Amino acid sequence: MKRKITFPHAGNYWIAFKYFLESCGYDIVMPPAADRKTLDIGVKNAPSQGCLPFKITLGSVLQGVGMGADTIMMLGARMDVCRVAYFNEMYKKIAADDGKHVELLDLHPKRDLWLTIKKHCPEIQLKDFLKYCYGFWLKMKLIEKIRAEALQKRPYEIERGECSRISVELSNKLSKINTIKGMIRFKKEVTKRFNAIKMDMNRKVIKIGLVGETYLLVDQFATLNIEEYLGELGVALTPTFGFTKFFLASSRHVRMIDNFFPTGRKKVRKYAKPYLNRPIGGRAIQVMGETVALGKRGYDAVIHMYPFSCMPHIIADSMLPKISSSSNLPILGVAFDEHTSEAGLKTRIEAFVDMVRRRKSIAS
Amino acid sequence: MIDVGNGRQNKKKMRIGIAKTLNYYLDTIKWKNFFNILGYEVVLSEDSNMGTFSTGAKYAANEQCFPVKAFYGHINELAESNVDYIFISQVVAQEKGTLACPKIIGLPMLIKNTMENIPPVITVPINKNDPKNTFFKVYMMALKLCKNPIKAKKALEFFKHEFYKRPKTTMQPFAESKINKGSSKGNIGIIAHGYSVSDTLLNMRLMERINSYGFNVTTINDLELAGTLKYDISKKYFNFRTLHWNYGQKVLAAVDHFTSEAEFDGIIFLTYFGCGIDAFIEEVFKTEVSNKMPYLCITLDEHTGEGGLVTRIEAFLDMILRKEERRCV
Repeated sequence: MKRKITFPHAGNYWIAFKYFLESCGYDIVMPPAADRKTLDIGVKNAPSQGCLPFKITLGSVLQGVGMGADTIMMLGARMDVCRVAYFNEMYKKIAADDGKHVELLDLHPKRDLWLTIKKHCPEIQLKDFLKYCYGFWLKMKLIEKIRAEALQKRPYEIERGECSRISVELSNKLSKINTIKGMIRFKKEVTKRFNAIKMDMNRKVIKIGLVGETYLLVDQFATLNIEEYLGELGVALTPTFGFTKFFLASSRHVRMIDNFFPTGRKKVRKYAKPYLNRPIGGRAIQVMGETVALGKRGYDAVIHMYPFSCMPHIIADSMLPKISSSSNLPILGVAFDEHTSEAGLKTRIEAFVDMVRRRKSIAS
Repeated sequence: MIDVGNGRQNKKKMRIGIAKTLNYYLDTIKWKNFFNILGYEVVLSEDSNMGTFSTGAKYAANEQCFPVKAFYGHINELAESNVDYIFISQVVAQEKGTLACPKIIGLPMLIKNTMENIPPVITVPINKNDPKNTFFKVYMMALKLCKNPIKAKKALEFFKHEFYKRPKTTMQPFAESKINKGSSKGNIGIIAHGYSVSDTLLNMRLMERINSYGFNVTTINDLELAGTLKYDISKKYFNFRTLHWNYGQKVLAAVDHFTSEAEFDGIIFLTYFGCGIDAFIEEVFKTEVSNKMPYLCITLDEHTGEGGLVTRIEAFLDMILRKEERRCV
């Protein structure tokens, strides 16, 4: 009897999760795409002071459990990360309060991931499992590449909406690829498709970096799809986080290698040292370091996105004005929660972008 | 008149200011004695009052929790009284294998980078997960302050002795209630952060109010609790992953104590708007407790009106009394 597994939605990463779990031998119960209904279910069942990512993911998971799943997959726990460490236990408890008994699968690069999967799907072999892990990694890289290309090319596009259309088409194609060779070949196709769109290179485009909390930097529903709007305003965005980075940082072995082959992680901490001398949880120290790094690399502005009531990010947000004045870099801090209105958010973003443009034209 | 006294005796001592809220009540080190060994005088800020809070709210970000805003007020008061340094200890881990709340860990850096025109801030990490680093940093700070290696070493020995001492169970005498046990109408257990129990502005005189209605009060600070992971109360009694905040472990141990001892009639959980840790911890024990005994959760913030708070407490205590009457009848 195959186990029915479900997972919370986070941007387009469902493609990678689906590939990995189906190959390992689970039956996938795909929750519907995140929308207002998901958020309402999450808000009803979550503690009132929980953060927005918790409410959206809880809504997704409860919808999946309602559709018949008996296992939940969630990112695994690390002590230095914030309350995210307890999300999966919370899902289990809230589902149990509803009367549904579920089991958990923690996704983190540790040995007990293999042991749990072997327990759930006894027919899997170790060498196949390692192959699927590699495929999972490649798929995540491709998802991030599609998103990064769209964010860079959208401000230049002539036909409005073409980048979004191509992203959707490529994502659907990617979800059907199941071989490692196919994934490696797909990378070239992504570059080719995006280079083929008609672009107007004479437009004045400003470069803005996105820093902030993990979920808001990967999910489009949580941020009310503001990245599309920013693209239409002529802004090329660079998100500084993807799940590949999260998994790299989770592995103890990679952290050890980082001492000899720098991956940029140490540099970020060095830049953050005057503001935060040690990690305090969440991504606070990365936010400070990445903002300084973006300023040094010549970006025009930085937007800091975080959920309301996220403690480490409130501390980081309080200290960003100091970086802003010392690096001469405009920084906008935006807090998201379930009551954020699209109109208010768009007004703030438009005003900010206008200010950055005017500043740049005065300087040049 | 020319002063020809001994120059050394008349030399004014440098003053170090310590804010009397938040981490003053959390860490167990007697900083006053520590700095006296180094030859400094310690100045504490006044007890919190509404004036402290309103100045603090001007400097703090809007989304910060209530205790942090009060902390800003204390720092402002110290800055205005012209001390030479401000000392804020960075409480990272109070028990081995745990961590403190992110705001407590980030507090010294937060004050350093967000307040202008204050005396220099000095800080040391208090980290039971890494005692060697803690001692090294304490020694370097002592050396920088007094430039005398022998005095610094003496201060370090004092610090080591305090570091390994078991924490006192209470900083304020709320263990002895003003009412005789025999004549009280009931016992209420109060669960809150350590600093909420000790600082009267932060708890809005909750304990006094409950005492004035004729009830005894036992707080989380009065119990000899093991906040260590070895006790592992969350797995044993609540079927939940071990919380890595030692505060969370203490709360669950207190809940277990209050619900299992027959003498307690109700539990009040005191929290603040914006406290992320409390939101999740409450979710762990809420269902179990609500099924066993009367439970009230009070969320305070700067807009809490006294009338509203009094109404809620009275209603809760009335409910407990009515339950007792019905049981006796």
